[in-house]
Amino acid sequence: MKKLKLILPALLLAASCNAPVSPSSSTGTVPETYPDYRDVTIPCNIAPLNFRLAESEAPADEYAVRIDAEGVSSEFRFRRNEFRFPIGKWRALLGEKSQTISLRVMRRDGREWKAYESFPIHVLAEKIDPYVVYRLIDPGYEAWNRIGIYQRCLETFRQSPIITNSRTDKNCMNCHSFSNRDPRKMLFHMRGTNGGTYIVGKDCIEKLNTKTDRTISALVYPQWSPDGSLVAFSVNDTWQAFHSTNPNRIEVFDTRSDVVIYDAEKRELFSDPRLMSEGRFETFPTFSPDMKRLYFCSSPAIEGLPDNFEQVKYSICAVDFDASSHSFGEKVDTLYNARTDGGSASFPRISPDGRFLLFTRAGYGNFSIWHKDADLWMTDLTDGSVRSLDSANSGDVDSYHSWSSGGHWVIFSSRREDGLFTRLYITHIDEEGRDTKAFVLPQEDTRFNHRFMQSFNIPELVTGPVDFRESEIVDVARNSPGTDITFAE
Amino acid sequence: MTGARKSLLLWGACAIVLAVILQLVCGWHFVFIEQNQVFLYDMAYVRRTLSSPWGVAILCRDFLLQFFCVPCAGALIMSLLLTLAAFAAGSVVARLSGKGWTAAFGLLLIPALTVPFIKPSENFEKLDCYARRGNWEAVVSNYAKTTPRILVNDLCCYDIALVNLGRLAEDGFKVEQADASVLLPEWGQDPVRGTLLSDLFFAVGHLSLSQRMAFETNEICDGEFNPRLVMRLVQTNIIYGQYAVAEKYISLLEKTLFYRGWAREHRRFLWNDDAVASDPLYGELRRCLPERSFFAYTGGIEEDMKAIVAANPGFKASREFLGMYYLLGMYYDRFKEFLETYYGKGEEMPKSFREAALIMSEMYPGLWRSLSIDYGEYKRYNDFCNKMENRISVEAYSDTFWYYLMSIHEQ
Repeated sequence: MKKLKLILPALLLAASCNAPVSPSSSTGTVPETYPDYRDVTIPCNIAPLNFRLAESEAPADEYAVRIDAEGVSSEFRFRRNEFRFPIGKWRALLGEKSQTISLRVMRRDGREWKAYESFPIHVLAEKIDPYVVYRLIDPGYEAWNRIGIYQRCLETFRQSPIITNSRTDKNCMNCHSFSNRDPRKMLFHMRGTNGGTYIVGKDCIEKLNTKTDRTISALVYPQWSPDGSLVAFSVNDTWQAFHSTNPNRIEVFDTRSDVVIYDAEKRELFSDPRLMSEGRFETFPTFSPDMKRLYFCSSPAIEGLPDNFEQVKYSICAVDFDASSHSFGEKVDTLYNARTDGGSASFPRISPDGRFLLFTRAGYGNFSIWHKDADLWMTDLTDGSVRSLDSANSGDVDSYHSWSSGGHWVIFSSRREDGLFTRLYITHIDEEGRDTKAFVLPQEDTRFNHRFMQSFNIPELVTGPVDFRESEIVDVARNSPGTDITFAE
Repeated sequence: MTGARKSLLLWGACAIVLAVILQLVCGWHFVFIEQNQVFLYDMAYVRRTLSSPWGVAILCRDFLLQFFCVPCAGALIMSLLLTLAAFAAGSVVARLSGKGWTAAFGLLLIPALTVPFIKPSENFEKLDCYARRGNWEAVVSNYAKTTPRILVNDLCCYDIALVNLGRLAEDGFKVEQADASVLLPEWGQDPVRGTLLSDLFFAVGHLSLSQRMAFETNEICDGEFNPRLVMRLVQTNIIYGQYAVAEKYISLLEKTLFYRGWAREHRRFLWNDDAVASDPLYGELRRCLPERSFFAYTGGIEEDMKAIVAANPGFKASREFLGMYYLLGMYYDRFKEFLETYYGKGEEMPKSFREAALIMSEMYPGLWRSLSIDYGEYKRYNDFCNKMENRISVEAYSDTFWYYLMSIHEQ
């Protein structure tokens, strides 16, 4: 009897803790949160959108978050104002269907529960590719120390290194790229010690020495052809200069650049005089999904750099391409005209269905990741119309972007949080090319983005995990002299 | 007295003696190395460190090293650790030998354990520690007292102290100066030099290079980050008005024990342009930001400093640095132009500039008069020349630009 007297109140207390909260009043406001996930559009397979209340919200004794989805609801209690949702329950709430879920944050001050106004999150059944590969790097100038290429599962919070420079003599590594988002076919460059281009395939790891007599540098910005047989590269004579007071901080510019194509089977480069002209800077090549067109950025060559840096403006051009004969069409089309628009384009990327061309537009130059005015823009290739992705863009740098396989999700980097450290954002592009409010890549710890002192750089979506062994790449880097490539006559 | 108490006293005395020796030999070194890493009171940092190879050891090291910024704490901590290690080793040896001579074995082991840790303090480390505390007079006096020959980092530290005291052009030649390449030494991706350069550029109002040096040097440091350089990043971002980034660095410093006070105090500047503008240091430095941006260092330091001096002509530090750069680099035509621009209307001119103007009056007659230089100074210059011609000692003039110029030519 005595035991029962002890147990029953405990059970009652436990039951009350699990009972749904019935707020007695409303704050009348939608809560200020970080990250801001209010009214965003997300894929159904995204990791839980953990968030916390902004510092401006006074602390409470307890919190609850109620999530109402179609046919199912869940309520989560929290002691602190940081709300982390269990992955299993989150997944069950979202399901695999398109729906709008509603989140209501409630707070207990003393005995009274108050509710904030609820806010919606739009869930779409179309999934985003489950992995993103990025480089983590200090947003610095010339020196580097800790650099690594990492992969992150978008369905969980798991991040793992693919390769870091701690095992390659602290060298620089950059420009990772995948063939058609296939995690089994990747390339990247190492610079300095162990320098070379590394093509990491299902069966082998190949180290290439890519400087030839006919190219102005080793291979730089890559884009694979969708079938993986070719890789379009730029070759660049790149410099950087440091602003004294310009908020863009750093200016990276080319004094020469060309576009070449690498034939992976023959291990040779080929190009076309129009892609290697003396009077122009050509860079950032990319293939159309059907491989019948090659797109690239092009600017008239400007003398007197870096002083005349604001005069360098890149258009986006396209030329027909025949992969079987390695030949190019006669006519070069201009899809985005820098001269008439006044801006400058970089990083052209074609949607998987071939309809949209997404690029970064800034006031000048091609290294827009340092330009505060850089925004994502899109051309509808069916009618040639060009517009800014106003819902996704911010007042700070919005730049390097990657399409998901389904063609409706785009991940990109942005400096909008603090003006310096890039974080990854995701936006949805619908059938008509309309974008949605971008949301930051969710992290388990909601303070992670604030604490983390490196930038997320070159996000590339891939369809699965990259499972190369780092030690094998390191072994090739250290022990292989590399294969010299040639320029086809 | 019991045996245990005797033993305790013996080991305690041993630890104290060792602490005194360590403090005397390498006290400044301990303070100097503290800046190379940091301990954060933050679970994410602890978890991250623990998950790395040797994580426990690194965490323990960084925890203890954070106290090294307190004078004598480094010596005390090291002596306690070494004494404990000697005691433990002595106990093991005594037990293995079957003889109860723990103290004897332990005391014998102390020198063997201590010697590898002893790195005598360098004079630069002492100067640098004073510089970190802003004790510029101590930098000046210790440089003058102890440096027998020109060491680039030492002299650069001395010059930075004079810049901060507003006496670079007044007292710069009180010690033997080298040339412009020592006034502004090469970085060479050296962390010590990078830190010095960040200090130097900050002192003379070249904010972009100060920030760059702080960022780059912080990046190449081996530890989690360098608190001294993160403080500089806070300062430069505040001056630039880049408050969100400054806040990020402030949050980081707030997780430390010894820098959190400084960091909290700096929160008042965030998103508060008026507070920055009215601050004696940050306001002055913000006025040094040229309206029209240029590419730092691409046209050489002279072009940069000219723009900075033009932006804030009243800021003595940048003006005198530019003048000294001309003098040490022997760019006399440009120095004349500089004097006429900034001292041509009777502004008070520092000693070395007056001395240089008097020499240049040989090439540009009447220059010293047009710059309102006192006749007494002119007479002193003539005395110097007379003594030189008559081969009379000019040691009394060893703190002058004239003497410096003569020494350079003799070399």
